[in-house]
Amino acid sequence: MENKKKKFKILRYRPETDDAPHYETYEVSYRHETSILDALNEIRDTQAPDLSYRSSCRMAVCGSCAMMINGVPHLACKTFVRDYEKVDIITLEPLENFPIERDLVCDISDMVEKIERVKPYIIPIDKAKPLTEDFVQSPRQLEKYRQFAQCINCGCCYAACPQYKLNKEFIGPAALTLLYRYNHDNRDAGTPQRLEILNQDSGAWGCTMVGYCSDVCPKLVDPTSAIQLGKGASAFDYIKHFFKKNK
Amino acid sequence: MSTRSNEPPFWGLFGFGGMVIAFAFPALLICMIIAGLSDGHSTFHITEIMSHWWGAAALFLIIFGAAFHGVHRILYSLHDLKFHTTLVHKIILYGLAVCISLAALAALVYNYIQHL
Repeated sequence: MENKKKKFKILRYRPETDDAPHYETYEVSYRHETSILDALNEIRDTQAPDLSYRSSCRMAVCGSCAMMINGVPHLACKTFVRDYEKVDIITLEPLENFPIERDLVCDISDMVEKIERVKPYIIPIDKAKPLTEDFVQSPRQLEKYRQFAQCINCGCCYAACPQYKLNKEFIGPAALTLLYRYNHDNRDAGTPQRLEILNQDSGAWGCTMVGYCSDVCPKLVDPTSAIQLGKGASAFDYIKHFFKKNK
Repeated sequence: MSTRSNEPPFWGLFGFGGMVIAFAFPALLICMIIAGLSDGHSTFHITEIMSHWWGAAALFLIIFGAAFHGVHRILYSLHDLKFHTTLVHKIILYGLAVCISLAALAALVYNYIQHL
């Protein structure tokens, strides 16, 4: 296949030498199957050996290579140069709403901390039950949360979220999606602990349903839907708490 | 440590209003278009709906729901437009929704009594 050329404008920031982030332009040849990540590898191998970016699996499983491609959060491995034939230049920037660490690498520790806060793991119903025994789950029970279990914590939804941009206290789309996912797992008993986070202003109620997180999710998870369902659960719990003693 | 948000009742009214708008507004619009096209010669009059207690109650629920839905949407939009909303804004806007609802209630009750 004929090799075509494409220009890339990449946001560069090397804290030891640069005062502020700035753009540098590179040109690479590409084929039909060249992904943005392939192009980045090419730039690093031939033109900018000090270019930093995260990547690992190359197949939209690890979520490392999330970045802003022409202003939209995408996985670099799942986005192809051929999809930008109509534009002269492809702009690559680190994920929005996170501090830049170096070049295309941003510091996502705030998101990781928020995801950890919702306890994204199964809290067993019967802790005494030996792990050698079965924890039965029917296909129907799996369907209740399966879609939301596809999240790979790439951070695209945080980069898209206007609420997270305005208020860093907001727990964010991925954390709320995982919160819903574990609360609706029949093997889990952590709902009361997670409801405390969901019920806060910084929980599900921090979202104003813009829905951009669902548009950009590379795994087609629908965080907006998880948050809406979470609001329903939180509203139900709000009514319930009036009937509880001492609360 | 954690404080429960007071948002659920307002969100509930917002949801109720949204449903009312989605279901009742098109029907109401058709009724009003028919009433308008009939040029006053029709046997159907829109005020007849309000003369029945069920019609008045339905209209009240529609106006009440739409008012609370509207102000909640305004608050959300102000927030999205980076206009920092405080408790004062909430009191003003929800107060407006209460006023609209009370005015509707008064008008409907007055109309109902007139037709007794």
